[in-house]
Amino acid sequence: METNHKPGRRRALALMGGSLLLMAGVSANPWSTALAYAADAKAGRPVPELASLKWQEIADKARGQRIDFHAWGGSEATNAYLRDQASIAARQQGIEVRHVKISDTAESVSTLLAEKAAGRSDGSIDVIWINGENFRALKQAELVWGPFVERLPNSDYLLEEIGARDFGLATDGLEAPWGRAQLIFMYDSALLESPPRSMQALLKVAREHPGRVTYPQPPSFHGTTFLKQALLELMPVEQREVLASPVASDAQFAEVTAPLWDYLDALHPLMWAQGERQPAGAEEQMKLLAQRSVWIALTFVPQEVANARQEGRLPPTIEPYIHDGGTLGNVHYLAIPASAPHKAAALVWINQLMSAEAQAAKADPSRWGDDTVLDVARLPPQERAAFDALPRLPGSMSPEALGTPLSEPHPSWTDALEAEWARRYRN
Amino acid sequence: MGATLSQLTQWVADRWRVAPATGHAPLTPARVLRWGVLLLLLGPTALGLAGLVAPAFGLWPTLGFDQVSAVAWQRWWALPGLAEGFRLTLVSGLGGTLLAVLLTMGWVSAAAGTRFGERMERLLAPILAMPHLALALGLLWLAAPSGVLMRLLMAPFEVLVPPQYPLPDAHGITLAVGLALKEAPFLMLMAQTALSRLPVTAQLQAGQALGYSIPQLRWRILMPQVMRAIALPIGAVLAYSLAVVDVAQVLGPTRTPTLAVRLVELWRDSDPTARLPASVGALMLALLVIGMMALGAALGRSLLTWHRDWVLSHHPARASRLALTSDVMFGRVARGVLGVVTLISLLAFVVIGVQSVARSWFFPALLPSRWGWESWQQALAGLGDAFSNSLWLALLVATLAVILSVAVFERERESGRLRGFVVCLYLPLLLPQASFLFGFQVGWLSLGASPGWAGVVIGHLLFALPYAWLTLAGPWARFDTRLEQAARLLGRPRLEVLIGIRLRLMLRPLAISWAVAFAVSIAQYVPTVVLGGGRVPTLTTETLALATGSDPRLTAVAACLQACLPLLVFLLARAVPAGRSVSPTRG
Repeated sequence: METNHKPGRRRALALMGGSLLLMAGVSANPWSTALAYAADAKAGRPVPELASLKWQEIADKARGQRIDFHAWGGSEATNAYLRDQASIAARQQGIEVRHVKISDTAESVSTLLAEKAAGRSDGSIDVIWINGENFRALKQAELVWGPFVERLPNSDYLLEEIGARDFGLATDGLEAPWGRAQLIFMYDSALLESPPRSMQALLKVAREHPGRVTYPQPPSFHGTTFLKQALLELMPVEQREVLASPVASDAQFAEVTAPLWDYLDALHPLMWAQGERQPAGAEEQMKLLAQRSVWIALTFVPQEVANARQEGRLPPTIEPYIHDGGTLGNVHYLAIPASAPHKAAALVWINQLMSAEAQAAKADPSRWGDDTVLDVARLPPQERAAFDALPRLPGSMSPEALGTPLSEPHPSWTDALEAEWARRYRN
Repeated sequence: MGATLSQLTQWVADRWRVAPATGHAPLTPARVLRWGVLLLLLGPTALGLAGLVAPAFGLWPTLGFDQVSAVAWQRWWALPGLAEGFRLTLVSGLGGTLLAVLLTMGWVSAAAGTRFGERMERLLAPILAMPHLALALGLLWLAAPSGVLMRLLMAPFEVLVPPQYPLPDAHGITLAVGLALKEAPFLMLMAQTALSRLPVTAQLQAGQALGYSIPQLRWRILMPQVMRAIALPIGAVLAYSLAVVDVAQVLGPTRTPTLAVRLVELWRDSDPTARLPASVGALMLALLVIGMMALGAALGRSLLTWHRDWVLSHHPARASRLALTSDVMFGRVARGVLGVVTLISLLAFVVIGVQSVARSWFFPALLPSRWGWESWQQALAGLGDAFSNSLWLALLVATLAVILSVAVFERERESGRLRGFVVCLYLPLLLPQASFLFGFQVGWLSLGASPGWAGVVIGHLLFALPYAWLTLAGPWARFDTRLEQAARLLGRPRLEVLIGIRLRLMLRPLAISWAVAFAVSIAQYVPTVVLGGGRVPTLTTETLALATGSDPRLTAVAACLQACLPLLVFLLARAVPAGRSVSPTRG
């Protein structure tokens, strides 16, 4: 037993060397195949075998398939809704939907990139809930499949003009509209007599009650939205059209955004935790609102307050409101990755989520409370009835109160705002 | 590539064929297992490193970066708030480790083996079992301005809104304390297993016979022995604390986050090229961890030397002469601190439990205004799969980890120490998880594997195995080998001696090591997500998804479920009879 530890050591070193060789080989390989794969993806779009099929044939092909649906899983309202829809899909379409609950859509973008880097054409994601920057990342990397939206029977009833542009970027039918969202503020009516209906009024509240106002930290989705909302409100209305086109120059950016930075410089020292710490997202801010640590929060789901009050997540004294000049609105989407192995079932699933029945259930404030992407007025009467029967709960926002949403600036403004914010405020 | 592979295979095959002929390496089962472990650990680690190093030097062809360049380094150093990030990482990582070590020292010197210590140990079991994320949330719900402690204080004053104080603070102190509270029980467990193999009674009796008090003897004699024995676990704690992500997101500052959190932010950036600086950051963090471990080892060694010199030059007063020496005082203070720490950790546990059955619970209410099991019902509707996945995964991973650890020890005993091997075992603990696993993911997929169970099992094993090995290392080294020698001399085959004598007598350390591996597997987040492609939902992935939402009640339920499994396993492990009670008389 008292043996040779020298050869053992030599062999271990040799094996390590061997592993290094293996690693070099393996890691060199995916990159060459990945390039080839990217070329294939370009040449093969739209996938021919599905393009030639009629809808019924696609539905037949989908039967028996199992799909991985990547969607944020942080809300039980959302998760329960998707559970219901998945059981309907299993019953009526014969497809199995697996809701992969992710904490950040960028994780799924990561996965797709890794799969592409590994040269895989059979990915692990069939459908993805997406919008904005994540869509842009996928579109630029040519990781989305389509166009497919017009092929869905239920797309006939979509609202006019909806879903043509996602954060200023043309969607080209590569993602299907799933819900409409608008920036909603909420306040605690037990602590504030009236809500501050503008950015200036918000600053006034911060002066009167130091430490009770904050906003989610950019570049989180809601944090960046707050920056854009403030930018829009603080600049003269007639100047706003410059935001529709890309940032022209650093000088232009500095000039246009100067009021925003002045505003934030004044706001930050008055914020919760002196602005040293900001909520990671709108959800954390809502938890702070529920505990009265902060008095104002924001969300993108119009019926969030109604839903949360009914569920007991927010005290009954919380009320929703929007700013007088209107608030930003946008649409969220469903997309199919180019590497999705079950595209037929993915199409059937998206079509189902776009149906009047599913959209009405989604708009129900006691379940989720998201605005529909369908033109309810154009729906056949029996399908419209489901929308008419939706309950009104305490704390819900009426369509009149929401008004017309402001449109999102061009994505280049978003990038520039996030970068400048980080430069100024991340120490 | 093909040529390289076949050459490599040929080379390996040659080695295998030649080796037995020259009599250097007979193919024992232990040897096969050991090579298996080495490949299992080295392969993924090497893959992970490749996926880290190449982008750091500007190589990422799919994104259009196909030449070695310094662009990644330039972008990394241009990040705002980097120096602050370094400072925070050091404060929280070093501070957390230091606090945990101090608590453990206090425990060894004042509590281990006493009745107080035993009671505390029993109470600490839930903390040991509780995943990091859950404990962090519990602590926050306890100590935040709107937390339960503040409500208790405010109850008589009819206050409507919570006070304002910075918690979590901007300097990483909250994070350090949170990490210490979670890591100290682990170190205490390690110290406990180390103590159980020391001739404690004999040493204390000898000391008492010379007239010294027990607290003096613990501080002067037991403490340095134990600290030396748990050097490796302390290293693991240090590496973990410097690179932790989930806890840092909950308890750390957000305006300027720690380096590890910054890496994950970059990794998740919707601009994929942000991964180039992220890779540089991952390397920097790995270097930082290695540097700090070296520093820590040097510091620890000189402290122990200093302690020895001090002990030798300061002769203690005899117990009979002084009723209350400073050593005794120290013991009382240490016990007080340990008691408070245990209490806080337990309260965090209770708060999570209450939160899970609360429907509405808003400041300043001391108790929920509405109770109900709805959250549990909702969770059970949605978490069934996650629960069973977690359970099976942890059972499998823990069992594999213990078997492999035993194989490693057997081989190590046969051929003397193999330093390189220990480093391999340790590498996964040293590298920042998120970045390292991405490299592994790319390699894994390009080998033709699909995301799913196999990848997740290997990913979990990478992290569970070192911990299982660590937990077992102390007891294994201190085992009385004369028992085995006797059995060998009586003509028993090696395997029978291993199973019949050693494993049987070491049943309890084996069970505890299994339980630690189980808990590690339950708590894994990054490997599960990255290598499972979301197809293996576990309680941990669901908890984190829920924690990003606005419903603390569901998060609490998930955290409870996540803590229950390891807790159960720990209690079972403790019920396993200690090996020494089995008398080795047959044979």
